[in-house]
Amino acid sequence: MLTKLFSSKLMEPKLKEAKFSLFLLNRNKLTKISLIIVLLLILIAVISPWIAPYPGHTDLEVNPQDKLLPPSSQYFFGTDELGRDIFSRVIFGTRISLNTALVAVILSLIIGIPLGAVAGTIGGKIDELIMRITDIFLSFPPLLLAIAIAAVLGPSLQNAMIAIAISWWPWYTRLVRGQAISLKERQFVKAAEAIGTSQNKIIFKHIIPNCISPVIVQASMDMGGVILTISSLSFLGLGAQAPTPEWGLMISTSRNFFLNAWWYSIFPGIAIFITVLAFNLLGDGLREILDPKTRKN
Amino acid sequence: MTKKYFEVNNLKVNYNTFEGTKIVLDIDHIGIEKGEAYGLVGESGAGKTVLALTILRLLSVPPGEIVSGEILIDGENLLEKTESQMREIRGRKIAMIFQDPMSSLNPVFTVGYQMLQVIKINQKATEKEAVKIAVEMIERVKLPDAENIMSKYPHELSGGQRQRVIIAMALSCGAQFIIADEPTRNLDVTIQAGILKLLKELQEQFNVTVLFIANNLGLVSAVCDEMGILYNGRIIERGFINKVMTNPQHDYTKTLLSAVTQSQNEKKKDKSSNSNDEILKVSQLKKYFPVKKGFLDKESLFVKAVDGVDFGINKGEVFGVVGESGCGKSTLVNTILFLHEPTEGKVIFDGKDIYSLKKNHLRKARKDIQIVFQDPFWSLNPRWLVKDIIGEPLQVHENLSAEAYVDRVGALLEMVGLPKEGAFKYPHEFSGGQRQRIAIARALSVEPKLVVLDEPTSSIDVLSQAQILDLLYELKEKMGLTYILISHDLSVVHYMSDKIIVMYLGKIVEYGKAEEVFKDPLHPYTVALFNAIPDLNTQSVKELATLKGNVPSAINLPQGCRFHPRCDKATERCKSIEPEALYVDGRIVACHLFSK
Amino acid sequence: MKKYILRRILLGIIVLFGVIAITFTITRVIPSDPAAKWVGPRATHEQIQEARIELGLDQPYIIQFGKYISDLLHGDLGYSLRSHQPVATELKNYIPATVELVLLATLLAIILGIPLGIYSAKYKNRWLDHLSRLFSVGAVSLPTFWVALFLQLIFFSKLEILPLGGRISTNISIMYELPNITGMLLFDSLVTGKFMIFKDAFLHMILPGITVALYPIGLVARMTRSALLEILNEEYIVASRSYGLPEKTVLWIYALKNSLGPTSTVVALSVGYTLMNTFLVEAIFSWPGIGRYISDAVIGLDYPAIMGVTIFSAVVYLALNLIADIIIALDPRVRV
Repeated sequence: MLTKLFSSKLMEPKLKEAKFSLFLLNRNKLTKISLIIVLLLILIAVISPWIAPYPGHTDLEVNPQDKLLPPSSQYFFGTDELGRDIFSRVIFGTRISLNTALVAVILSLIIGIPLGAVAGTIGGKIDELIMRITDIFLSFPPLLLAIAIAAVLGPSLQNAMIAIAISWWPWYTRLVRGQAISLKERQFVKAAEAIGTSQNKIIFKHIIPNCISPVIVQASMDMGGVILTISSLSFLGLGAQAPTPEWGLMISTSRNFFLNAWWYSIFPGIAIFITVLAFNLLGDGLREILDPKTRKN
Repeated sequence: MTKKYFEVNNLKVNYNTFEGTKIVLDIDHIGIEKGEAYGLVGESGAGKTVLALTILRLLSVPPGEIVSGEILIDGENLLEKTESQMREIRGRKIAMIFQDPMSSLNPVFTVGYQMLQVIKINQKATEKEAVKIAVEMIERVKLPDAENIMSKYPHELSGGQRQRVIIAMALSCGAQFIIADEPTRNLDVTIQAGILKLLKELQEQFNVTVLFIANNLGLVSAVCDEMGILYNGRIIERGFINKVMTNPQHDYTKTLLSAVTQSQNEKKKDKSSNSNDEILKVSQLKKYFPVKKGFLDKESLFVKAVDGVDFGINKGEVFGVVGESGCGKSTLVNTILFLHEPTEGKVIFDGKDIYSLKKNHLRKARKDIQIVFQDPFWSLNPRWLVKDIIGEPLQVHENLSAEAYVDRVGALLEMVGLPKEGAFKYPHEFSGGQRQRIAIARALSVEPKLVVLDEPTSSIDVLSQAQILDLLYELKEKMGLTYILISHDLSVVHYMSDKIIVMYLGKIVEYGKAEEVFKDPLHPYTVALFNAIPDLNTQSVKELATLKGNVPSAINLPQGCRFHPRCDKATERCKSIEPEALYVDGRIVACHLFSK
Repeated sequence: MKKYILRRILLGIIVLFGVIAITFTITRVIPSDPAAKWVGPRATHEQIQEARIELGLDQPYIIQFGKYISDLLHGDLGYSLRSHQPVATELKNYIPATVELVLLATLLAIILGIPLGIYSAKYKNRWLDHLSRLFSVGAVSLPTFWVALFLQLIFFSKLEILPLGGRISTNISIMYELPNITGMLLFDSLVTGKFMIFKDAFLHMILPGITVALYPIGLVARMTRSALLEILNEEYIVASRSYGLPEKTVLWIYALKNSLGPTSTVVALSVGYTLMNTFLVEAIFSWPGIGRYISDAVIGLDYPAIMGVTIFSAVVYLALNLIADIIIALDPRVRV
């Protein structure tokens, strides 16, 4: 009953916060544009089967009589060596890249955040152990790790994703650990300890929710980096396999034709660039918007 | 009307925020004669620092915006100067002493390097001349061994030393006008007195004009000739110190005054509520922190934060703990609460030995001891609703239905004088005083027996301080609570406490009934501590007591009495033999002066 | 300080040991028979068995690992399964080409990225800042392999002014004897005064150099900017302005020294990224570095070679971090 009575009040502070964020967003045009692009890309990813003119070309269908045609009104971005519409394939690539990157980042977050929070909050031997493991994983070049995993499990987009998650989580562990170390000195954590709140609850209810802002910023910036890495792995043949319309893989195949079919490599490259750029700009902007220092003024 | 040396006329400064334009300064007039000290009193948020930065034209624009007005120094309007002209004026004519000596020196350069840079620019001096001037200035601010000081990095100096260096730097520019922005805010009282004396002396000796910004009437009355009171960007009262103090016109000034004079009208303590049941007994409590020397070194040193402390608290008492930073008062409390593992000693709470309790019994005991922290901005989780904050102890210790839970939270909010509806708000929507009420409600939610108040009023505005203290007192009477009160604000301790202990470097130096100790302190440290704080009766800073030297490091404690290197009355005996706790007139004093 | 460095080195060795242990384990679970690779596709069953004993593959895992470690301590990384050459020797031949590329990129990152970041911070929200931010964020958003192809398309096939790949033209390498001091051609030819070789090597260097350098320049510029902006907000900077210090002293001496810690961390980090990027770029520009080496090793499942490269890059990574940490430790606040 009471809860119902105050439910409108419950929203009030959040609304004010949101309004303030919107104000900061409005002030920062580049961030606004990048946010629009990111939202647009997500939309494209969701509705790609309906907007791609030749959805079949993203799968096993081939069209050899139209191979390597330059861009035209029929094929906006031209066709590839099997006569497939590059425009349709680039559109579908959005879905693949965003999906894979998102899963890889979320996987890294799931591993990285709790480890960092535990290391930072508990400290001592456990911290030392976790951080050394983190160091070990950080000293593997992600590419080598991906190579190793591809060698063990066979190259596929999914395995590339796993490889990226394995090499990416230590960054979040470091980030969250740093936050946790400063948070645990905060009095609300001390207060919780004095009350007798269990350590688990302190970590998950007090520490982690308060590290979320910097993690979101980092994650949105990492989306760009992860998309780049996925396409690199696919380019090397360690990620997506034909006929998947993955951007990196498309560029890799295009190498054999790039002297006489420039469009083949250009468009997937532009797609990667725009997507990564949008996420990087968004991350930059979010950092500014969520930064407590900017918020104070 | 003749112009004064420094004048601010009709100054309006706005801040442009997303909610629109906010007027942060609207000062009709400030005038200071050459060689005078003018005190500007106001609380945080009143616009003091904005004014200082505006004078130096260092205010960041945007969000700040100087709308209108003039700032005259020697007849020249600073607001009409170009940036390069201002650079000539900064340092050479006006220098600023910042609030926090910790963050106003660049940490990666030596003190000497920073001083020389400033001298070379402002005095057009060669390296050699600059060194000479720097040494002279350091000697002038009474720091020993100038060359050694110059080779140090800021973090190697104590807070007091750093603030002296900053003053030396301001002087070395050759400035005739100094803005001191709460220069003693983060310093201990005995150090503060020294800095105040130094400022006053320099002002008189070199005919420097001083704009002294403070949040405390006592400081201003000791240092300045004239004063203004800044409230919400406006000067609401001004005049000579004596006039303002004896005959305040504005209500706000009266409140500020009553906050300082609080200790004089001490609370009438209702002795009947005190019983003789001892609720807490601390014996020979020690807490040492190991300091790792290095990775490969086995042997380690210890910081003796609490080094053998004994006392007892009766039910219903308010037990005050007094001491400067580093004396171990916070460690003492944290160890009693078992937030730190004790090194040695016993704490008996309510008949139980806390340190020998098993885990689940300890949790029960924790329910009976609660704590209210200093800073209500950080003691409440910013991401939780007030209902969850207040209810956190309830969730740990009691099993309530959702409805009973909300009812309890509502009742607790009303008990501390906040509306029930507050339960569904976030902490940042409340003012400092209100947040402290929330923190109190949280502490009291599980009906504890003992509550630790760790500087409960030091981060909230003066207006709310008295209300919080009264609320605490009222709740204590109503719920039969016992308090441990830690505060560096002696007037607060005086106002509230029945018994007090005075700590110095991990030991109790004096322990007794509050009225008696305040009326007639015995230990030389207690005497110095009490006399270092300027109040309204302080006519001049010369009356303030200062202690020589710095607080020694708790790793390398002095032999014998810990206080002897700084004590005027120290004898040979003090240097070698550590004094026992002695019973003198119903209290305990650890000093050889009182041994027969 | 000495103790601190010693401690860091010790920790680095522990981490390196972990890296080796994990890589070693991975190579053992790869579903491929090293002994079969060793003797080649036409070997008999008996030959494979012999090779297995010769390579010590019949021993338990722990003993194999122990032997690998003890060989490693003597600088022996085992033999390549394809060429039967010692991996250490092969690495020695391939590393200089990669190092040359990485060094060039890092140098460019320092001399272009840092000033770009500083000016960007100094003129915050002015056109120079916008331009430099757009450049730096663009540089870190470009897929390296695509840039490489793009540059080849323009400068090789369209304009025909730069070579497609390799380190040196075939005719030059036949006509002249290549100097070999450090293995880095640009440096060696310059020192020995062989300008024909220098010019040719330089032309070959341009495209891969630009490709690899883009990312670190952008990264360093971005990070320098944000570190500097944070420092310029500190009270001690406001204080030094209040003493009338000129802006150039405040920025180029005071603030810059304060930002040394974060900047050196970023440079170290960017070297790590560059190393990874060279692996991609080498494949495209036929650059005979360890990137090429490991690509071939992966295709041939040549696990001693894979391990060799992994250990090399882990050592580089750890060494860089050590250097960055030491620079940070020079900060008097954390001096140990």
